[in-house]
Amino acid sequence: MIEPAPAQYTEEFEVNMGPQHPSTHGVLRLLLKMDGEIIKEAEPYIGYLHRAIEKICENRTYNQCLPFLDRVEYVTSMSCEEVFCLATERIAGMEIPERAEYLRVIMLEFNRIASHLIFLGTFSLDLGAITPFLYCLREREDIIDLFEMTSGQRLTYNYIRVGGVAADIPPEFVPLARKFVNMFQDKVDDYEAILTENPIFLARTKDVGIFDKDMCINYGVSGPILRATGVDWDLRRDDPYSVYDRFRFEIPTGKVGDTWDRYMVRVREMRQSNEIIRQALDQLPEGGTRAKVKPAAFKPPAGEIYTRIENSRGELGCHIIADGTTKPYRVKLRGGSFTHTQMIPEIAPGVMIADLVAIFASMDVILPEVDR
Amino acid sequence: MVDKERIEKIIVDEFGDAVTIEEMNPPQAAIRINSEKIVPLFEFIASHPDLKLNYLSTISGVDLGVEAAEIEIVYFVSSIEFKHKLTIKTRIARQGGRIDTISTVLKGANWYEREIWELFGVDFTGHPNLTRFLLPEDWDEGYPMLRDWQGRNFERMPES
Repeated sequence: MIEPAPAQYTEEFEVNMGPQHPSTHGVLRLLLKMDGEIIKEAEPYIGYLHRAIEKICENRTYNQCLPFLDRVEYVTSMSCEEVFCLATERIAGMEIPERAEYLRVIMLEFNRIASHLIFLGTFSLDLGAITPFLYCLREREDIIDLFEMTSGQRLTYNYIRVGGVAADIPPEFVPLARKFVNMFQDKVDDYEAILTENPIFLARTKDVGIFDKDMCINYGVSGPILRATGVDWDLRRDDPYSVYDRFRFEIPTGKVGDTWDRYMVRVREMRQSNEIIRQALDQLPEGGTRAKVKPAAFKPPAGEIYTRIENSRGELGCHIIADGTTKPYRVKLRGGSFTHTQMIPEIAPGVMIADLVAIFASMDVILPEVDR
Repeated sequence: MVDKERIEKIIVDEFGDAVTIEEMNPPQAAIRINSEKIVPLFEFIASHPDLKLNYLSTISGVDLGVEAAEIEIVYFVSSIEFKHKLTIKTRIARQGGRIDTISTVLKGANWYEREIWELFGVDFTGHPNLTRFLLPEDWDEGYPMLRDWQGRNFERMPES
């Protein structure tokens, strides 16, 4: 007599995803409790990259802080410099030259495109498409070349300084930037031709990882993830800074808040950033690039402010307390990635492990900004 | 958009003596509240039809020094619908200070409070998960963001 096979059952087990895992984009460790391929619980463990940048800034003069801030978010270093300088300038009540404002906008928007290109490349790589990664890094290289000829650096620029920018752009910058702006829309068409309507891509992203609008607001989610849920919220328009009020641009929003929407919002944002750069190049005024600031002995008056800008990963904020000395009393940084990572225990249960990779990639979290 | 004076007045009318209007430089809408009233305040401002301050940017901890013996907790909230913002400040004792968690009202506060617990030693009563996450698991050198913290290889530079 043949014994009947035991009823099929699955056993819950724990899996470590990371810290060394290609799709965690840095050193994030996720402890997953699995039932077969379905995630029951997920708990993120961070802190592998904690460099105590807030503590270091307490002990440096304002201009000495900037190179450290570059390393908070090395994919969009310009934003970190801008938010710190903006906060300091607002405390000091400082006016900066118009040309410097325009150069900042050009650099910030180029940096946003470069960051979204990294997103697009790694996102498609995580889903198994290798070609877009090569295309994206090719175009990003053109932007990096522009940064290198201006600041001398490819990644950590230290270009935006308190009172303006470090140096004027070289004469060959504007023609090369125009060349990039004129060809870039066609390049985005190329990426879209590969991905947007691709059936495999749609199967992996459509209706996968739908985020609820109210849940996102409750968690303090910002940037493209919030806009993908249909919330029209962009700090460039809603909490104005620099000269963004002089440019015409649209704020793309999604409809359902799934992975595909998060992809599409970023693609459309790249097109809008490109148009902002085009307008800024057209309007770029002549003049000086830095207000008079004593670099070593710069002392803003006592004051306190929280300033925020729209980074490619959402709200990037900086809380500075100045006590009238050459060093800030307190520097607190708020990055979008930190807020978005803490949402993982909420969104992961009930999701397949392969879909978590797609969802997490579409959130575009960068770990140095989480750990600071 | 509701202006600074109106936001402050709505809150002062509701909470009376527990709230004072805070003058900041540069000027911003800001209030100071008794730390006992922090949870009712967040419930009130998130649901009031003219405020709808339901988006928490971050929570910042500030050590006011050994002499003041107080830690300031600063909350930055804004309204997605009306696009106004508010700074909320409260103070608690530097040694053994405690305050109620607001992660029951705004879930995003969870990690911000955990960070302040870890780096400043503030106890958030009712917080679901106060465990180390930024510092090493075996860290035993106190609370590094306090102004008088002395750790290995950390030297305060003299004022130039």
